[in-house]
Amino acid sequence: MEEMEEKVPASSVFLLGVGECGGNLLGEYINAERERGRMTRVSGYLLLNTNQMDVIKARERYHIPPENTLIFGDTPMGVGGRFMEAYSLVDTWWDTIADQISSLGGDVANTFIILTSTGGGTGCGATPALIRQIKETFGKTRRVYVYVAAVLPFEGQSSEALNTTWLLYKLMQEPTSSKEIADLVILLSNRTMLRRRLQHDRRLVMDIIGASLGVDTSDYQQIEKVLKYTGEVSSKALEKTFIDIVNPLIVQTLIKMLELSTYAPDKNIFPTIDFADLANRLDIITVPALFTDIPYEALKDERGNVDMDSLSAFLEEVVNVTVRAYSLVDIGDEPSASSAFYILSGPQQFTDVHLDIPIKRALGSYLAEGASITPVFVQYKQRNMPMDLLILLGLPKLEEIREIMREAYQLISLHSGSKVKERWFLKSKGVSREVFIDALRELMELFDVEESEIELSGT
Amino acid sequence: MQPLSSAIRRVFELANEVLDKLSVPAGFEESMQRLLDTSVRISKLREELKSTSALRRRRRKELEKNIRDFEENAEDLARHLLDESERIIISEVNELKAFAGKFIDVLSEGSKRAIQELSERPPIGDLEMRAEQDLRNLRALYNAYNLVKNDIKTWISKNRDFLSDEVHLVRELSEILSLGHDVSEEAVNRLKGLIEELDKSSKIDIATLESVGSDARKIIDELKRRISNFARAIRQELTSWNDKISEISSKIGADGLRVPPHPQLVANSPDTYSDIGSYLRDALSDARALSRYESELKRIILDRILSIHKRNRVLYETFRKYVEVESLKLSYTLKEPPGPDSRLDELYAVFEGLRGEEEYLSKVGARAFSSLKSELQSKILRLSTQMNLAREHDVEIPDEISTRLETLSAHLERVKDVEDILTLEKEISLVEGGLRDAVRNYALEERGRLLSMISGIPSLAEPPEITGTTVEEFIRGLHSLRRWASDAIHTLKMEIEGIIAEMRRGLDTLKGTEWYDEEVEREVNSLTAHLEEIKSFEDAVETYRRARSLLKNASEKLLMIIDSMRRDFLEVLKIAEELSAEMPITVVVPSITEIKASYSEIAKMIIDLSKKVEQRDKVLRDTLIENLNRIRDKIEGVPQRYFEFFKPLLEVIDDCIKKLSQAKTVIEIRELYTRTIKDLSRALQESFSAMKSNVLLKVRMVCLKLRNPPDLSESFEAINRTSVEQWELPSAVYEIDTIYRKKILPVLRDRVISEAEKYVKMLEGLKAYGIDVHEFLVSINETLRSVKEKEMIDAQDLSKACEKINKIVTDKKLRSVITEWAKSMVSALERSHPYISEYEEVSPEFAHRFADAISEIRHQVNMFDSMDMERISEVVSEINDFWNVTRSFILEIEERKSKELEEELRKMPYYDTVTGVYNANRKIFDEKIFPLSKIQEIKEKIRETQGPEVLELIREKRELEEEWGKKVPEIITWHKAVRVFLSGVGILDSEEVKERRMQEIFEKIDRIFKREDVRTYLKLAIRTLLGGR
Repeated sequence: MEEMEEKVPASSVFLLGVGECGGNLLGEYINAERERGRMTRVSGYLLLNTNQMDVIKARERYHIPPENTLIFGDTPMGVGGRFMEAYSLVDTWWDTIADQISSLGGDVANTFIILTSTGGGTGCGATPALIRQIKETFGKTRRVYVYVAAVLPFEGQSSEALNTTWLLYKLMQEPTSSKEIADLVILLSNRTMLRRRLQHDRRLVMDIIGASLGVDTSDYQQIEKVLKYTGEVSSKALEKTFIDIVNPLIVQTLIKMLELSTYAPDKNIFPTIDFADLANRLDIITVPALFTDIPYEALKDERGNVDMDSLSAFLEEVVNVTVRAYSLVDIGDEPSASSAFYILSGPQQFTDVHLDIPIKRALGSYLAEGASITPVFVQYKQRNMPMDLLILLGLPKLEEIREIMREAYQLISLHSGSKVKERWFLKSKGVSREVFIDALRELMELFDVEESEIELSGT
Repeated sequence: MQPLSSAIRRVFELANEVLDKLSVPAGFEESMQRLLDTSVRISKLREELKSTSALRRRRRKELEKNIRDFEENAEDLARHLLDESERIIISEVNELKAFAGKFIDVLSEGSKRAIQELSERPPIGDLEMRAEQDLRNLRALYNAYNLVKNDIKTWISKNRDFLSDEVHLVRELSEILSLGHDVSEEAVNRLKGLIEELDKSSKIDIATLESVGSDARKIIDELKRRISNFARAIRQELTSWNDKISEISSKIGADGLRVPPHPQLVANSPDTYSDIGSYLRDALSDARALSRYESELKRIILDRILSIHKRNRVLYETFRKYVEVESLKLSYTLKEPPGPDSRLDELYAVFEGLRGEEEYLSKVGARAFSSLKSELQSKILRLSTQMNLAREHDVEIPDEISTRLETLSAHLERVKDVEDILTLEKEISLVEGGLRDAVRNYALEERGRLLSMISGIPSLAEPPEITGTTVEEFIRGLHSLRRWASDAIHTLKMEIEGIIAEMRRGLDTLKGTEWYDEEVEREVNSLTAHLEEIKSFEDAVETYRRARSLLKNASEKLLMIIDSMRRDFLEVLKIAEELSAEMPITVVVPSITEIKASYSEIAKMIIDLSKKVEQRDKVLRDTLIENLNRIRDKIEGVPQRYFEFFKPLLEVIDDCIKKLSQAKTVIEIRELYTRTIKDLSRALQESFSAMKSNVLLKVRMVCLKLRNPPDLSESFEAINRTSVEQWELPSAVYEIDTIYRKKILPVLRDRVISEAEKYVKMLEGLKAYGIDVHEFLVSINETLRSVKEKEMIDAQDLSKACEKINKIVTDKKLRSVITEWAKSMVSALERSHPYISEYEEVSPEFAHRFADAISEIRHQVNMFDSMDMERISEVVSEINDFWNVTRSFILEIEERKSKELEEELRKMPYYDTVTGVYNANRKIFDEKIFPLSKIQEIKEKIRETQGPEVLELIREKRELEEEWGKKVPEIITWHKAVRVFLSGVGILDSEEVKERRMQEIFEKIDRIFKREDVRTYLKLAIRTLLGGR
């Protein structure tokens, strides 16, 4: 890995939106880029799905040209929850998919980002197969990286929890034993955002959400749209509305990460690092946390000077609030992450390397002992650039994953006990019960789940 | 299973038709509904079974069992319904057959066959077969029923038609023969009703059929029976009528009257007719022929009756004058003859009776002859006696009357029979009439002559009237005329004697005076001598007329004298009238046409009149003096304040009175008096004019001092128009005084008040704009009060008040106070110009106009010295208005500016939150962060301030707003830091936790932020957002 780093002078990123959720995320991203007027950060993109309707909806909603979409498989209704069907369809349709990726500029990309949900049928099933095929086809002549931005399912959807277990397990295999592993999995949680949303006072939450998402909190209609769903409305409707708010946040995070892959004359990245490098600096699973528009100007004195000591102290607070309140998956009080990576971007005069000290000091409390922290400063010459902080925590002990495992385990138990019951796994998921048991066992180790909590040996 | 449901369908079809065509018992429909429900259930169950998979055997079995159960149930229901239907059909068949048996005579062959074919037994077989057979039977029954019904209807309707004809014939016959009957038309109508009843229902209803049939039969039979009875009765009636007529016709034929031939009758005995109708028609034709024949007979007899009756009456009237006629034996003659309405037999009876009485009268005639003759003889004797008496009274009787009387007397001796004597009677009556006319004509002429002679002599009554019808009465009338004439002579003599006595009295009165007439005395003496010699009526009348004429002429002569004396008196009286309105001697002499006195009274009048003339001159003088004194009284009656003008007149009057007392003649008196009155009159008019001018002058003096004098021309004219009539000076003076007091002074006073009030209002207006005019206001109010409160105000008072007011409003000090204010306003307006210029973006021309307006105002203010108060006040008001408009513009500009700023700020993120923080912590926010409340206070003050001070406030507000506009982005920058501190604390946390966390956050803030205002703001914001206090 060390030797390969030198060979990648610059990233060329290709985006793949897989399944309904992946398609929507891709659409949001494309729209966000379009608003900026150019699409410099990615060389191309493709929306993949087995469901014809979902593709058509996404096209209409995000104005995606038909050549940037592909429906694979023979069932217009899609694969439903049977992810294994999507898995095999990728292999059957690969030639077509690869042709289309090439024609859209993917043949020269060295980083592929797959946007997907972990619980859906198409996204969950197709992702490992896509990773394998991409690496085999486009990685013949060069090193290609495949990142997966994966959205965890909502609470109480045990079937999706089961799919998630399978996918996470697949993505984290040993590289020696599998070609279906991702270089970096960026986890994103709807349920976290939703929970936070419900815990906080409306006004305060809107303040935070408003600032984070760049929505104007004085636009009461938008707030009302969200608040309306707190009480009487079904959780499904709340999810839908919330996804509309959360997706841009994910996109913002994505854009922030991709900042590393582009160069501009008025921008200086220090130390020099490539986007692909992220995978090398972090554990395979990471959770992002983003704080935009850090109000450093509040620290100016009457003459307009910022006191650096104050700024340091302030940044420590910012780090705390970013990790605790702005991570896209709830990382709890002691995540004990194994690695960390942060990007501080802002105007040249304030975005300085000596801020590394307070940031590291603050980050320390969220890391396991001996964990590494990789800093990157993106300095802009413009004075009015906002100061943003993106933190990526590698392999934090996520309570949410534990919950997902518990839900998956409950579903497995439900369908266990007799041969007839266990036939369900093959029928509705396309894999045997044993595969899920193996996956669960592996993840339990990774995320420090006690044996007493899930008695797999018994089943 | 299928056949059963088709059977059920069939049963249901049957039941439906039964329901449709027959009356069904209670519960029948319910059974149908149950069957229908069950069928529906079955078919639903079958549907379900069909859609249930073959694999769901248990469900299928369950369904199949249910279907079987329901099908059994349905079959039971269907069987029950079928049984019930059959029972109903069979019972109806039996009833119809029974009915047909009763009415077999009226049924057609078709109906009979249809009924025979109806089955009386229920069919056998399975449900469906039975149902089908029943359905056929039901339809056959329905068909047969309708055939029978039609037959019954046809039968009734046929009978109704010919019965109706016969009823009409019966009615006509009974009218001709005046014979009663019991055949009613209503029964025929009832038949029609019965047919309608049958059509009411389309269902089979044998009960109705039966009741209609039997009712119809009863009605038809009864009618036929009655008509036949009537026919028999007619037969008898016609025969007896015919017999009666033939009897009378043969009798009158025997009496010699021409009788038309007897009509030939056609009707035979009703028994010989096949139908009663033909018989009735023949009978009707016979009845009509008989009726016509009877009328003809009646006419012939009646003609004869009338001629006999008339002759009998004449004879009776003549005979009964001379002999006794037994009226009892002339009952038909004395009764009125019968009319054409009488019955034939009655007429014939009268005819017979009259003929009998005719014979009786001829017998009476023979008996009356001798008594008639002696009666006529005595009548002729009486007439010749009366003729002689008339001749004695100078009546001229024509000779032929006396000759005729003699001839008639001779004729009478020779007369032999009744007819001749009746002729003689007529002639004697003619002679009697001639004599009577001669006597009456003479008497009337004589009376007319007397009447014409006495015309104009009121003391004589008219001669007696000539009345009566007989010769004897007219002779009596002549006699009374003679007696009246001798009475009249006596009366006239008495009259003449009275006239002579009256004239002698008058002559006695005048004796010895210039008016005594000797010729009159001679005439009187001649009359007195002739009086004794009067014998005839004509002489008496002539002498009377002579005496009357003498009296009249003498009286007229005296009256002429009186008239000339009166004229002379009136001449003097006229002079008196010229001088004075009243003269107490005018009543003494009436005009001669008015004098209705006797000769002696007139004579006395002349004597009196001569005495009065002597008193006349003294009365005249006294009257004139009295007149002058009356004028004097009037002048003295003028109100004291105007009296001075008229005082000199009194001296003139006194002087005249003195001279009048010494004057001698009427002419002298008249001269003196006339001149004085003329002088007086002129002096009075002059004084009166002087007085009017004085009043007008006072009024004009006030008007001159008023700014806006009232239009008093009408009152002036009224004063000028006033003049003194008939020396009525006090009322003329009073009239002017009234105009002055009531019409002029109040108007003037009002005008002075309104002028003063206008100034008060003006000054108050100025005061309201802030100009110090208090002292002027006080003094003008004082003047106003004095004018308002003084009760008896005069023109001079008003004049003084006006002077005072004018002095106040033209005071230089007042003007300088106003000018000072106006100059300060102009300055404020000039200072406002920059603001208005800002407003130019909305109204580009306005600023220019504004500048022009200010310079115009400045110009006006500089001209104040040459303006009157009213104009100044107007300009002040204009300045104030202009200022108000300007102020409102400025205010609007300011409000817009504030709003623009607010909108600008509102676009900034967090601005709402920042204002929220301010609103929750105003005091500390104002002190430590920004004095935002101060802006609000100034805005409030600006709204309240009316004067130019508002400009200063606006400047202050602008500065502050500008600062705030700069401050807000800064605060927003601070505010962004809030979210850094807020994680880990929620609004739902307990107060305790919140407070603890906040303290921690505040410590951090104190550590990180150096600036006090930033710290304060952040703390306030956090506390506000968390809902702490």
